[in-house]
Amino acid sequence: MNKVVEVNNLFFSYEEELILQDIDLEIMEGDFIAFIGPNGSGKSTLIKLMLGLLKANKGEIKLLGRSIKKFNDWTKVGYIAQEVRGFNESFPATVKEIIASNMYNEMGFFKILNSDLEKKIDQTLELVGMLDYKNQQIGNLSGGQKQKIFIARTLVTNPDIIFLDEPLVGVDTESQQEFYKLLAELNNELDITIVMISHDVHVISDQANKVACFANDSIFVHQADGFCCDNYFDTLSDNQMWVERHQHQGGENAC
Amino acid sequence: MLEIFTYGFMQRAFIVGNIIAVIAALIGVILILKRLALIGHTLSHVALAGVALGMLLGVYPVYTALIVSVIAGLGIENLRKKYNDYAELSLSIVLATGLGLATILISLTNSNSSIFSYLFGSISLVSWQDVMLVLPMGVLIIIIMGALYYGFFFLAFSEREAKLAGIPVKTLNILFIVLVSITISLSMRIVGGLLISSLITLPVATALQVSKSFKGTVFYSVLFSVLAVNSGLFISFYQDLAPGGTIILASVGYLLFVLLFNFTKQKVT
Repeated sequence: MNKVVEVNNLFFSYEEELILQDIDLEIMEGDFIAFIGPNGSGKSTLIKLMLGLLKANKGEIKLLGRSIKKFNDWTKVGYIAQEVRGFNESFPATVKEIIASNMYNEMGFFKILNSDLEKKIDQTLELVGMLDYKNQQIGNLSGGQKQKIFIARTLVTNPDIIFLDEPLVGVDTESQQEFYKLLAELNNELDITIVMISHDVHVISDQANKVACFANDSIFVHQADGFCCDNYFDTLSDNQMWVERHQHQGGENAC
Repeated sequence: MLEIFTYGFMQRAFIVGNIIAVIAALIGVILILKRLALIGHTLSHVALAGVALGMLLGVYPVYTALIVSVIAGLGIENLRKKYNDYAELSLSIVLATGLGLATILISLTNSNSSIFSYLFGSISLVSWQDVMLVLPMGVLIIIIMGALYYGFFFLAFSEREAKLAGIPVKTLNILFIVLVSITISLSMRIVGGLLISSLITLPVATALQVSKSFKGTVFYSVLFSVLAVNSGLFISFYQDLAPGGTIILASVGYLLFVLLFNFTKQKVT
């Protein structure tokens, strides 16, 4: 199995504050890895580093076998942020236009849609079960529907890996279940590697095959199978308790 | 043929006016969706300094306006990165510089009447030289905007996500600001420096009331812009008024009409 992401000896600090210290992490092809941990423990930071949006102080990150500094094949990488962040609800854009925009690099000299690309949009919308909403304005959809559209936008370029940064904040429970079902399909059937930040430890440990716990500048990776999330559940908001509990359980493969 | 079309200067005004109408709307859609509507206002003041400089040097003023506003546009783009969270601050800085320069240069030129035509627009002064500059430049801007349609769309929707999708964000931003600067300089002749930013924003504001898609917004912006320029030119000719004023008031008229139409429709349903 190929390594999709490799992080070696990574250090990162915001000004004086050390966020990530000597991080090593491997994400393999077909993994569904969940990033969990208290606020400010560096989950989003690590994803931003993996996407080259932030620069590490020290260490190396390889994405799909290439150093992030030289990486340029962004069609193979999807990123879905928290819906609420920087999204203008009244932006005049239909679902079709949102998805089409991601095919910029597949368009010819004129960056407009042809019938092949249009067909691909339909197929992708069908896959996420949103074909009926093709001509709707994006701002009029519910939170869960919007996230499905953003998944579709990512899928339209056939990515190898998708990063999701707390995509289900503000989404109702029923839509969340549908969303997880979709992620499982993408992971199992299309073999897309998934990296997802979540605070919903119960649910995510059922879905993911690996769980990376962020605490005290470091990461501990567990197999999700048998991951005793109940022990972590109450400690999410308290960094210190989180670490103590973790040490108590004894490092790697704690359960 | 209507009397208005028999005059050479009106023919030129209609050619230049309609090209300006189309490019101002195309540029305007992206500017407004990027929440940078005031760039038009800023660059028009800088372009005014360029006009005054041209007059002082005895060069065709639209050329100097072009050069000065492109430089200022690139300056804004650069400052916008520095003041990332306060993008409008970069506009204030460039606006102040442009207006200060314009005031000094105008007081040095001693040709207040010509400056007046660049402030408020003029139809009788549109020359063949203007047509020969606006026509190819306008067509070029339309082709570039059409060619990079989805790139500009993504840029307006989310710059960060566009970057992650592998879109050359930096290049497109720079190209776009250059196109904005050119559009403003070209428009000064007919709409005037003080009013061009209104021609950039008002038709888009009207289109946003009508359309829910990007394609529709682009289409209606161009439609309302062309309508405003043509009705403004008609009124300007028959009532002997400055075209800048009549064009802008015509676009305000269309906006009010659409707002009223939507309001009544909501009341009925």
